[in-house]
Amino acid sequence: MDYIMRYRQYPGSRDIQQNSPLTSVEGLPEQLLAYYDIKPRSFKRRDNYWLIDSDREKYIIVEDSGEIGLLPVALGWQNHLFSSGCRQVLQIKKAKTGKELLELEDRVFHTAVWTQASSSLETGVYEGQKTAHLFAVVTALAKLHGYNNGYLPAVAREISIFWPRIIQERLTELITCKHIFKENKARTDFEKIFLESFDFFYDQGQESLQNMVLAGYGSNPQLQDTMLINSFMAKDIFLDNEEVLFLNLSKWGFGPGVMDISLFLNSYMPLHKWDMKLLRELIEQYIKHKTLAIEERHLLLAQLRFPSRYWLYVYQYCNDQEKAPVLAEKLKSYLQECYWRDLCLDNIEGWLRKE
Amino acid sequence: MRNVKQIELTLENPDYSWHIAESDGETWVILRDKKKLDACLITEITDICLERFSWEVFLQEKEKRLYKGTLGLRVRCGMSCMSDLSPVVSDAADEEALSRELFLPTKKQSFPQYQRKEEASTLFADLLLDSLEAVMSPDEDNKSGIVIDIPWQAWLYGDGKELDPKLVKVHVAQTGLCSILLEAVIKLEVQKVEPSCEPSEKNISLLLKDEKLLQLKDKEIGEVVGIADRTAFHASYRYHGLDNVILETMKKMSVIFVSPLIAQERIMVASATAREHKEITARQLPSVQPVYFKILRKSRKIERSDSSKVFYRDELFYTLDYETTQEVSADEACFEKEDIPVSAAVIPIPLERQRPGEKYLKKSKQTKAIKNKSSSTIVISLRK
Repeated sequence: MDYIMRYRQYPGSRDIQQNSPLTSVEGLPEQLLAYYDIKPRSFKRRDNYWLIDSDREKYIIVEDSGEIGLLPVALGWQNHLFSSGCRQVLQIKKAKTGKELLELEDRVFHTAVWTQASSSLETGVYEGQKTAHLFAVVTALAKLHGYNNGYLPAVAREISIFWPRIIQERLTELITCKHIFKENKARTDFEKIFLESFDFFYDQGQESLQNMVLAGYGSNPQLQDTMLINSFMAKDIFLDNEEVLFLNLSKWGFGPGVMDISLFLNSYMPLHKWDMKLLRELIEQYIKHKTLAIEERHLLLAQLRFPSRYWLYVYQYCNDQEKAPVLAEKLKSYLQECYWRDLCLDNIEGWLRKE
Repeated sequence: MRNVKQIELTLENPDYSWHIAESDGETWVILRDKKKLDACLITEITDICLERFSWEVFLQEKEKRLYKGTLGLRVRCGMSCMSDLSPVVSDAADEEALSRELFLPTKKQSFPQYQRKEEASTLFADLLLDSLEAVMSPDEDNKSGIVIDIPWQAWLYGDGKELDPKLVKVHVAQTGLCSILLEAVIKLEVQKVEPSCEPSEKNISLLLKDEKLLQLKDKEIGEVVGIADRTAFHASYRYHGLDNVILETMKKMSVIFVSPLIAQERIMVASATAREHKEITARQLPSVQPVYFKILRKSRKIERSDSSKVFYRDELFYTLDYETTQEVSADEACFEKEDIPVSAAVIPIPLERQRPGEKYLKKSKQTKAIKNKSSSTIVISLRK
């Protein structure tokens, strides 16, 4: 935890006053607070979030990463959700200039009003290994999707995403890598493990496509596109007393709502060894707040089955983004994890596909 | 190594399940097989036991014989079941988010060109053993592990008494989390028979030396197991006015070696084919082509001169035979002796039939030529 207090110096000899406004907040550009007219008394920082306690309200300042052109879409969506009554996101605060996004010193920030009772980012840490936290997030996600109400900004309509084609392209890339590694005699441990496990993962990819076809993706009205959070990293979730806040929508995407629930489950079920009972209860919890049509269930199965990280590791390997021995260990670990996942999904498939 | 002929070798692809390097008097049989275990991860390779090593000479012809046999090896390894393992999953959320981000079409991604990578170390186990003695005998009480049986068959060329096949090398390696590779080298050979060196007008043997430096680019040679060389297309020449006879052969040289890189195919073969000439002083030789000439190896010395070069020196008997011991039988020779009668006859060709209405057409000079045409046929009859 970073915790620095600076005291305002008055002319002449004055006692240093505690709880005086801070002149700066470590890690933030000095003029940022002036743009929002925020006089901080204290602050707490967690990663790219600063929770500021000022004389009037509490605010959370977020440093954004990613494509700057897509950030206004994220904030527009957040505004829509909040104004629709969704309390799983915070209200955006505009700067004195009227802008929601500020670019300072080659960095981009936005600010939101902090409404939570807790003013500590440390106590509100979401932990994926706690089942209670999983249920809380699933419930919050279902509610947030409910508030979407068909909201789809113009830019999202212009970009065409056809998930079966995307999946097929990824599978084609995997086959290409397989042929390349075979021709070059699989020189490293990573290439050997990749080739050895290829048939298993490729079959999973094909099964995923099959489920998408069964879901009638692209032609079924039940699978309408909606805005997606698209990222469930622990640092971007605040959880306190079962109240969940999604702090960062900048990784947004769009597609059928089950894309979000499948990403969340793929992210945290490994911590629970793909416990079949837990998975079923989480899906039922989601359904309690937002029903899933049979086509959505097929799509959910498709997304749970697809081996995204298998593709990610070979992508990182070919791009030299990670060392080969590290990726070999990761791939080995993923193979073991998928053994559990395969058993789990085989067991719940029948239940999930029932009307 | 001055004036030593340098020859560049080409690495052959490691073939499954057999890879043969043939030589005159020797055959090197390299057996390979891979096995994948289900739902088990291999943690180590403990030992190898010989379960069976059987063979028989299935077919025998003049100067060649066909061997058939089976090699069975039991490989014992440490294993873990998938269900007992605890993979590292702490980064799952971050990686799932990253892969979702990279999937999106807004981020234009293209898979780059493959860049060859090398690794200094490996997760996988590797065991290389020399000779049959190093492979343990089967323990009747311990039947654990996996048994890999590989049938084999190969030709052995050469004159002489055949010796028992020898298991020269055994290599077992882990080539994946649950995959085992087995390689074995079997040597077949005949007992070398030295030709007589007594000079004779019809049968000459000369002891000649042959030195070569074999080089393999882009690959390291760890240990040389053997060299197989086979000659073919023997020919001899003698140029007018010269005293020398030139003996020419095509020679294929194959180096069987062990690669130092572990956890993959290690018993490799690299080959080269070259045309060879030897000059022999011909003052005492008959001025006819030898019936045939043979090359027999008396001795061989092999040295690995550096990590990619092999030097070898052979002492070779070049035997030229000017007289064959086999006589041509009277029956086989009958076609040379008999006079074949030839007769000739003149047979006129039937005239070409006129086309319909041709008689009403203007007659040209060509028509007369067709009427006068004839042909001759020569008939040859064969009578016994």
